Amino acid sequence: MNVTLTVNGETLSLDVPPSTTLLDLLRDRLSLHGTKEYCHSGVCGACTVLADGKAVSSCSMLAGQVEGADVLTIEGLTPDEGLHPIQQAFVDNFGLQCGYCTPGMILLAKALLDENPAPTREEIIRYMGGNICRCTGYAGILRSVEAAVKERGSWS
Amino acid sequence: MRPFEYIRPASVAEAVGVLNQRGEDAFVLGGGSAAVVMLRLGVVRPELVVDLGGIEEMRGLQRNGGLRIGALASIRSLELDDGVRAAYPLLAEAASQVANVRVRNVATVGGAVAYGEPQTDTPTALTASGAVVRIAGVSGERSVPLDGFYVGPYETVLEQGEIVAGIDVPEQQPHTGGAHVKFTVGSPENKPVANASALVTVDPSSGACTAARVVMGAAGPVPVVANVASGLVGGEASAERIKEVAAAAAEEADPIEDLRGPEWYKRRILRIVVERALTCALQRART
Amino acid sequence: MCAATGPNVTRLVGQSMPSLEAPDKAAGRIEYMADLTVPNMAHAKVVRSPLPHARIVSIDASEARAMPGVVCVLTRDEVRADPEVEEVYGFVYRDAPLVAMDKVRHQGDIVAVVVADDVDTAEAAAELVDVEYEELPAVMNVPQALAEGAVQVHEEFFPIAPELRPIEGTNVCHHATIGCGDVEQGFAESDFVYEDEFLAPPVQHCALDLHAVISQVEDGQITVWTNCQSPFPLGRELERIFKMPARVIIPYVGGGFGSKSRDRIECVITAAAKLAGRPVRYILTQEETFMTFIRPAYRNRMRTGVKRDGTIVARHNEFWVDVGGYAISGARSANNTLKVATGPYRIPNARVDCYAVYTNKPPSSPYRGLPTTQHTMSYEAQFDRIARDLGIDRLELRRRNLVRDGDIHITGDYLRSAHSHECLEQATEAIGWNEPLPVDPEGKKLRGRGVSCTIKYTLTPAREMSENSAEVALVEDGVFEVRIGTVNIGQGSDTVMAQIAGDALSVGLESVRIVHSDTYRVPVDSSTTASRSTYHMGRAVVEATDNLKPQMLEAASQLLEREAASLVFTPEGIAQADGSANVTYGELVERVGSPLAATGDCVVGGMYAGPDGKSYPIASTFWTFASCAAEVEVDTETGTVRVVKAAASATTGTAVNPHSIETQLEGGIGQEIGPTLFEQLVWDDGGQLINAALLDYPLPTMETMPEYAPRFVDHPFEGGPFGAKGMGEIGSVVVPGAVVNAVYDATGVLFHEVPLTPHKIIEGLEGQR
Repeated sequence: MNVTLTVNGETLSLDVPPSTTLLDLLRDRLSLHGTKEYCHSGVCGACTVLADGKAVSSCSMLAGQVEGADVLTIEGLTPDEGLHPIQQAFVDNFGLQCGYCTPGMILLAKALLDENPAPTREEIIRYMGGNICRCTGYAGILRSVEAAVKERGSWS
Repeated sequence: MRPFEYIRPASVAEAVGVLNQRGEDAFVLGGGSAAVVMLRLGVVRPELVVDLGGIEEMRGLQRNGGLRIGALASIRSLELDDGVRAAYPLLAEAASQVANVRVRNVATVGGAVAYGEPQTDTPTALTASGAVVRIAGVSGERSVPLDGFYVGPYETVLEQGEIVAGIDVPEQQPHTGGAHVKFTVGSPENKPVANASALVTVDPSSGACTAARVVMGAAGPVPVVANVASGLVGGEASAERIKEVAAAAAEEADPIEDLRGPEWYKRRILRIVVERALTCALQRART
Repeated sequence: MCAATGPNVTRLVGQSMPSLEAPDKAAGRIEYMADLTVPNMAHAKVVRSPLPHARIVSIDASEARAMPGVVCVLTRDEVRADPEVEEVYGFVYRDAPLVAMDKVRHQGDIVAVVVADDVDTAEAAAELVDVEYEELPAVMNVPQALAEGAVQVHEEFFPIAPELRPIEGTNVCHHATIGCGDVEQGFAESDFVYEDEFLAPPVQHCALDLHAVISQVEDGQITVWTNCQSPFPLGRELERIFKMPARVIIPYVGGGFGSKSRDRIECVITAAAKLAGRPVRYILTQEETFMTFIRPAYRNRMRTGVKRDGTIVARHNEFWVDVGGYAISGARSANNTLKVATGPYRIPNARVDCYAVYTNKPPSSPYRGLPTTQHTMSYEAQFDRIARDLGIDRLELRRRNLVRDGDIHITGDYLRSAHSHECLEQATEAIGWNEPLPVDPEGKKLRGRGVSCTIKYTLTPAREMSENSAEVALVEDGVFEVRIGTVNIGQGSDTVMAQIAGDALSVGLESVRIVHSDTYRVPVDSSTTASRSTYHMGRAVVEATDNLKPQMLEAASQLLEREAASLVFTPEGIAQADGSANVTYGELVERVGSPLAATGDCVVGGMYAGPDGKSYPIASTFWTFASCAAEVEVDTETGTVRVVKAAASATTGTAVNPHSIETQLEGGIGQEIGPTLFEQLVWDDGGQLINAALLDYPLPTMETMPEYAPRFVDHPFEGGPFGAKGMGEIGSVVVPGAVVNAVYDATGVLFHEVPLTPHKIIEGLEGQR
């Protein structure tokens, strides 16, 4: 079947089997490997992308469901040179170790800051609480998001 | 994932038409957060997936007296909608406690209702709010109160070929307060050990309780309405009285032992969440 | 030459810096196993046993083979038909067949491999493989496995590692003891004897990067890409099984925590690739990882004799580790922790018995220090019971018994860098041990604090040898390429090695490039496990640079026509000490015409010459000491335990990358919160694992995170690279003991079993009333 959607600013028309998930489409068809897979059941958040600005689990959506959607992956967030301020905050504040959950965490943080430019610590924890990291114990991630919040005024 | 055909009908009529035609070969997809996992695990193996996501008439939240919830309205929209937060804080509070934000962005209210998972928060709160399910089929629409919609775990009165088109919630009386309390082991994103919704109306002059409704989730095969809550009506609903009602409500429940705890423990938690929900609802009704 | 090899000024070691690959990770540019492809690659799906224990009557794969898109199906018949393939693997315990031969030994055991053009076809075809089983009685836990007349999971034993000793005719695949003094005499001299039994159930590591492999068998050469933590032992095992050379390539790995420390899919997928005649890729699903390697069930029965003043006189400690259906990993890790089962205490008379027991659970593997974590919980919980019973302050009781430098450990080791007292003081101070606890006005929530102390070993050979090497090469553009077998699993190893190499060479980070984990491009390394890399690989890197320097000086001496002894190393190159001549590293390698390279080994083991002139065995190259202090809040209504604060202090030697150490400690604590409070794998009465999916297996999240206070004691460790030791696992090891003791402090109830699920807490509280 045919799916037309925008991925990282580029509008694409793709022919895919109906059983293709958004995750499959991104990883296998578009080779956008920054979106990761672990639990494949909407729990862990490794496959988090933004669809029309909202954080979603790309493993739990069929390609047909994103017809016409505007999808942002970690590749689309990353500028041509350097890093997005949220990415830089994760680097500077040791918000990552193995890096596997990191793209999903960064995109979730992006969705949070787009919705709520000045979240409190409690709001950050409540919002980010769904994404799993096995390495950092989350302290570095919280520090990173808080640092990104502080810098929020300086980027659009 | 096993292969299947896929269609995305544009209207309710088209959707129920194809569902009626394809019978058991077809599988309904709402937001997909549960359905796609079931497809991946092979729990369901349909020939055809009918994605309701393109049906414009099933979207949105409308307030005209009561609240008309399109089946496709996301759990997150219930959580964030200003009108819902003002007039139906119980629903917004329950919605905000469902799973994680990614799931809430995608999962639909209609899907949560139709799926019939006995521990989900939304059906508990909707049942407490007196919601009525609008069911669409080839022969038209029918309405069934949510209290009566569930037959068993993951089992509803929906007939083959029928879908949940929407949920209607009646207008709340003035001086009504609602609260939803979810209890989990570990992170609040986890499935609840138990949850409870309370909706209480008071007479502002006397402070006496004029209506009280309590529904418990993860308390049995379907959301369990605590009949004992009506015993609060006419009295002042003291802390002591609420404790008694909560204890009696927990005895009305029929929880099962599972990964989240043995039966006795779930009953204990039901007592606690009912007490907390009632206490909070009453406080909100009085302010 | 003296001027050139004098002491380096430390510039990089000791600096906190984000990992070198952090920007690429933040950009999602790092490739993990699931991101790799090989031309003409086929895809595998494994047919797994639904039963925990059964004889295979027949396997009919004909329907699957006939399905369009299916390349081949590997069953026991294909394995038996290939005379060049050994059927059984395992490099410490050789008991795992490539695919099940006569019987299956755990739910999820590998029965067949279906290879197809795509994953969906392989999955559909796998369902068509018809396996007839004759169900056998299953032993689902250690008591069942040890019961009189219990069915034997394996009829024969094949230990490879010499220290592993099965008890014939039983399910005990390894029993060993360690001891010192005279235990019976010790108990006789004790004023009080305490006996307790502690339990911990299995959990899974939940490394998000799913264990995966691509295997290619072409022209008599095996090439395997995998996220395994032990590339070299795996390569040797592949060569033994398939009798051809094997190259193992490891990309960046998204966590392992021990779950990837041993082979479980690499050999079998290689057999499938050989049969397919095409490269084959296989990626476990999250559910399959739960049937591949788990942290074992653990039981510890402990008797401790003390004097009235709290001095420990005797200890007898028996522990049982459930290794599951195959001992390929679990038996040796159980054995290794014999060395630390008595804890960081002076105990003159001690005996420890270790039993590794086969059951019909999935195989076990280490889990971030396993089972040192459970040992620590056990002896620390009993310690608090003793303290309370004797009316001695908990910290004081520990201070009276903790080891010090120069003490002789139960292994006979002469303890060095044993700053256990400092760890205890640091950790307790970090959470404000003496500050008053908040009091809940409603009296429903109780607060308490607890502490635990530990000693942790690292993998150490029985005799003096090198288990790992490094190569450092001066290559084009004047870059020093550091070639190491350490797997970058997220622990920051590339960065630490670059810091060490940079300082050893007196160059900046920009002049160092790390090449890791390709067995054909880097020298041998035993494994990235047991917190061993910083010390072992770090030493090998330093030695490689020491060996490279004379070569560089010699080359520079010829080029500059100066005496080598008059030359010095600078960050840019080599110069005449008086500045009259110099050559940059780039020019040097260009003028020489080929890279200059040298290797270095890390020789460990053998004997330690103590300051008293005596010789001591080395059971662990270094010992890591640590303490955790935790504050908890117990909700007496719901039974919920919340860890409010947790401090860990560890002896790290020189802190190569201090902030990285702190984040390792935070991560270790945060991870172990799960098994301490709520994680646990559950089997039903039919031997079926009922919570293999993450929806039913909640993990710690940002919401369960305590306030962390990571600390370290950084006295340089003699022999370590720039004085460093390893510390990757230590943060998690000390957590359960501290939390159990904090709950004891809060409630007066000592729990003997984790996880501290709310309903167990309520049972404990009500039992007390």
